[in-house]
Amino acid sequence: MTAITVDDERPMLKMLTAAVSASPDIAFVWEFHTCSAALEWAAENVMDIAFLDVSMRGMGGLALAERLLEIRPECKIIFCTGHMEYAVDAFRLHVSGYLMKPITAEAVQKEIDYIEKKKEKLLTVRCFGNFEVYRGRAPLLFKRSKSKELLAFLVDRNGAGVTTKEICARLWEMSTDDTRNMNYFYQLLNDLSYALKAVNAESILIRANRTYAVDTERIDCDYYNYLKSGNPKFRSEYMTQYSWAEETCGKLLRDL
Amino acid sequence: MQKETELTDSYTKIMMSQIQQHFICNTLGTIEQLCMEQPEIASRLVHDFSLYLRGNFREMNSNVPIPLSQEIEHVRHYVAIEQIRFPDMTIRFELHSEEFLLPALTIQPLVENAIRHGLMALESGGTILVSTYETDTYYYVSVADDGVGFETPLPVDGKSHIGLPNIEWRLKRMCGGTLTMESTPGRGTRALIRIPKEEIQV
Repeated sequence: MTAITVDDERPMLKMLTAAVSASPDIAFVWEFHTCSAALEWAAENVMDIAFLDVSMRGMGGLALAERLLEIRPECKIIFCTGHMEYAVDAFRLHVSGYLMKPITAEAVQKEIDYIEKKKEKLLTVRCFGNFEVYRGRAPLLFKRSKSKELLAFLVDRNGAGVTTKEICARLWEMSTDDTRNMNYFYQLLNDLSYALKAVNAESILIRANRTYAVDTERIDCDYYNYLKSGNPKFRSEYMTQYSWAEETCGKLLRDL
Repeated sequence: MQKETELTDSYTKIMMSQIQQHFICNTLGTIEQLCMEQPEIASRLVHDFSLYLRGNFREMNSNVPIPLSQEIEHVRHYVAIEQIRFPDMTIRFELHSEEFLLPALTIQPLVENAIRHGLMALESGGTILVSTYETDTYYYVSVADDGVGFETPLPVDGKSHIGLPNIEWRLKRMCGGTLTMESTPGRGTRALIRIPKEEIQV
C-alpha cells in the first residue's frame, strides 16, 4: 500500500512519516507540510491511506480530508491530533481511523490492520483458460488488446515489480532505446489506467520509478486463490492467448 | 491597595488565557517527538519552554513596569518555541529604542495574537516585525504581521484575541500608555503601543 502524511509542524511530520514507513504494509510514503501541496499531488497520483493532522494552517485537516475524498474516494483517511475534541467532526466525515498524538508505529499498524481487514476486492481476474478481467460481472473495456496484455503480464508477476524495459522486451520484443517504442508503451499504460479508472480500480496499479506492479490484495484472482489454497482446480490452461504465459503454465503443470 | 489587587488579578487573568491548554500540550508533544530523533533540539526547546513558563509565573505577581529588554527576552523564548514547530514563520526584531519600561506581558500576547490569528490562517510562511522607536514625547512598540488581517474595528467576542482590553487597561494604569490596532484584510495587522516619556499620573 502507499500512503501520504500531512502535518504543517515539521517535527511532528517527521515522526509521523517515520511511524508510517515502519509498517511492512506500506511500500511508499510521501510527506507534505501544506494542505495544498498534498492536494496538488493527489490530483495526479493515487494513494491508499492519507494520514492527516487535524489542526493545520490554511484549510485545516478536516477540509483537506473532504477535498481528498472528492478526488480519491477510495482513499482511507486517518486523522492525527493532540486534541480529542476534533473526534466528532472526524467521524462525521466517515474517516477510517483516528490517532492520538504522540503517534507510535504500533498505533499506526493497528489502524492499517483494521483497514486491511475491510479491504474489498476491486477486480475479478480469470487466468485459467483465457485471461479475462471483470468488475463485478461486467468485463473491463480496453481500447487496445495490448493494454489488456500488459495487465495480464503484471497479474502473472504476482505483485512483483517489473521495469519498462522488461515489459517491452518480454511482451513485444521492443527495445526501450527507441523513443517511438517508449511513446507506444506509455500509450498502452495510459489506456490501462483509463480502463481501470473507469471502474474505480486504478489503485490496483502500483507505479514507482518506471517499475510497475499490481496490488494482489485487491484482486480476486483464480490463479492467486489456487496458489494459496489449491482451489479452484487447475486444468492445464493458463492465459491461453499469450505465448509468454507458457512459462508459468509449465511451472503449474510440473507442480501438479 | 485596591488598585494593586486589581492589577494582580488582571495578570492572573491574562496569564491563564495565555498559557492555553493547547499551547502546553502542543509544546510537550513536540518535545516528546523530538526527544528520540533530535535530542539537541528537544533540549533547546525544553530550555526555552521552562524560561517562558518562569517568565509568566514571575510576572503574574508583579504590578510594576519592567524594562523593555526583559519583556523582549520573554518574547524571544516564546518565539523560539513556535519556530521549532513552524520554521517557515519569520519573526524579526528591530529595536531602535530600548531604555524604557512597560507593563510585563504586553508584547508577548500581541506576538501570540499575530501568530494565532494573522499567520496561522495562512497555509505557510508569514512575517512578524517587532520594532521599537521613540519621538521627543513618546516611546513606541509596534507588532506588525503580513497575515490575513481583519475588518476594523476588531470584532469583540472576548475569545478571539488574547486579552486586548486587558493589555490596554494595564498600559493605561501603569504608564499612561495606549494600544491601537489597525488591520487590512489580506494585508496584515499592526498593533501599536504608545508610552509617554513624562509619566502621566492617573
